[in-house]
Amino acid sequence: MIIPLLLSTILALTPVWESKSVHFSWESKGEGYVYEFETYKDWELTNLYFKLPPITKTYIDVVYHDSGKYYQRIKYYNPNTPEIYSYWYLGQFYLNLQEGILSEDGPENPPPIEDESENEIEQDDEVNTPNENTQETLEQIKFQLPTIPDSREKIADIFKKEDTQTKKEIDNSDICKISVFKNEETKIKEWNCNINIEVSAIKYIDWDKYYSLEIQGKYPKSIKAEIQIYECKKFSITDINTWNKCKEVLTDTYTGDINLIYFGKIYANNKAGTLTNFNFTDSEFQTRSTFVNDISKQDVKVYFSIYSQFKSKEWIDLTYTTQKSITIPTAVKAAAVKPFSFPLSKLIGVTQWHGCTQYQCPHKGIDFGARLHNVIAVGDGTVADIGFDKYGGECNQGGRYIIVKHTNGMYSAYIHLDSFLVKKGNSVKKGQVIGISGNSGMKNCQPLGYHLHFETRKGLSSSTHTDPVKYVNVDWNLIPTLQYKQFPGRLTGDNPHPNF
Amino acid sequence: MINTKYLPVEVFWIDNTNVLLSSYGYSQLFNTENRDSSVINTCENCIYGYDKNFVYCKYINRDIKSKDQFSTTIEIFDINNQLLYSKDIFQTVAPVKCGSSSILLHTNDPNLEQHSYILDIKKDSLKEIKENIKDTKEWFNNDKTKKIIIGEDKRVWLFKS
Repeated sequence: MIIPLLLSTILALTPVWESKSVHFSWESKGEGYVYEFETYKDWELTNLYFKLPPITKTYIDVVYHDSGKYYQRIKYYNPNTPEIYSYWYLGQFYLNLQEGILSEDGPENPPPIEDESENEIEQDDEVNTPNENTQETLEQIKFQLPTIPDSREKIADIFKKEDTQTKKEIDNSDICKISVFKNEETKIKEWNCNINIEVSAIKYIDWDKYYSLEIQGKYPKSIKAEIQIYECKKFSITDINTWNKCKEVLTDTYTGDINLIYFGKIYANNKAGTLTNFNFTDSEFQTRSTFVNDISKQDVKVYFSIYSQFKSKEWIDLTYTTQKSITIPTAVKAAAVKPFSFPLSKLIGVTQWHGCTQYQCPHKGIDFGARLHNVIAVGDGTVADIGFDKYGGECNQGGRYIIVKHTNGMYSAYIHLDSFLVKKGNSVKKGQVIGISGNSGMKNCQPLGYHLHFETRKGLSSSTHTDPVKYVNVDWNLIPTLQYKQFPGRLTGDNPHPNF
Repeated sequence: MINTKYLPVEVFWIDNTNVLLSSYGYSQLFNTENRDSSVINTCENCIYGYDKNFVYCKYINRDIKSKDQFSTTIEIFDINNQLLYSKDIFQTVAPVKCGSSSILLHTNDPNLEQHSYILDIKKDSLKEIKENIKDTKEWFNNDKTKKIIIGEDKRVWLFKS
């Protein structure tokens, strides 16, 4: 068994060295073996600093020209079978030429220089000291080393400042104590933090065929946190706990404010409702879901997914989930205060809202992305007009239309129809099929896409148009804007839910 | 999560680290490693793109009264606002994906029959293509180690494998 030793393990007498010769020796591995000496700058021996030509001697003196931490090993093999080789670890040492320090880890276990910072943490490798007693004359090997600035003092200052800051903030009882384990992704080990989420309004509505629950509230935009970051200690040949397993070590601590990004959904008896609207701003939220059955007697919660990112040594992403129990009031019946029904036999999304949109200003109605669907009278009344509109000659035509005068004095218009199922003067009942939607008409000399242009008017003239959202009794949260991700302009106008 | 002012209409990976999030009037360059971000403001009818070079496409739509008129003008500019290319088109379209060699165009009026076209700059030709507009989008980088998606929460997320 050989025990390589460093030439000196404590402070050298000379206060400043230009370079330092370090002696290494090892046991002979057998007759005819050769040895290649390697120095690394990292403890997992992946970052080769230099390698010396093969020798047959079992010792060597190596001159180091720069400060730093070094890790050594020899590769040994028989030249007759060079493909069969082994390594022997010679240990590590710390060299500070400026202060004349050559030691296992430095007298004050100094922080590492430059890129080695990650490798220094939890350093508990056993250090083998080169044999100081070897007296043989040694070949002095010269090599050029790159210049690495000694930034330890600067780093030490930063550590001091951070320590002071951390101590101050730890005294603050509001501070959240979080610890995370960072591997391929970051997992929260401990979350000692109460995020105060307040519910300010709950709307529970019975829509006959389903129920909707809308919850509004507030939450903190950011929190003060002290976050301890753990990682697997990198492989160390001298630490068995790092061999094929993860030894968690504290590698960093972050102290400061972190911003929180929220998203939440409503669950009843652990089953999510259908999300029909939401808005999560910096400090306020609104989330709305629909349920097929009455959930007033069920265990209702809002689950919040809270995301944060912060920069420590590296960027860290956190996702934390919390929940808030909700007590639901008795369902309120959806008030049928709006006079009209939906103009199609099924709920269909919108391609252009009423109002001043990106495409038309004003757009006098709502365009529903219907192909050949049943168009229904939105209220009782009489067919006031029917026909084919050619308002703009060859290039701009409204196509087939029906206008109904309702018993409440208002009018509704159904445009670009494929066909009619009523005649002028016919009485119509609310819900009666009066035509089939289509794509009749032209715009900008081009064929129209299939859609129903639907208007509510206070008079016969189109100039008396009103926003149908105000008159059609439907849960508009169930009517999305179609293809708004590709065409964000479609969200414009009097959209009752501007984010979808 | 990538903080963005608007959801991107199109995403271009510049390399395996840097990405261009492009929307009308506003684009954002994002470094997926150090998370630095730069905002590029453009005109409301402009959208940035990247294919070896950064360019932006400007569109002008207008009402026409006969079939021999052009309802759209498409222009391509380099980052120094130098006009590289201009074309008048009959169809009412807007660029969805801008590039210096080709542009993906789509009908820019929800009233109209919806069509997609490729404008080939070198050939100076417009060709209709079948393009399915998907609501779910994801954009992978070249080595497929990163992808950007617009999440259910309508935020832009970066995933690394």
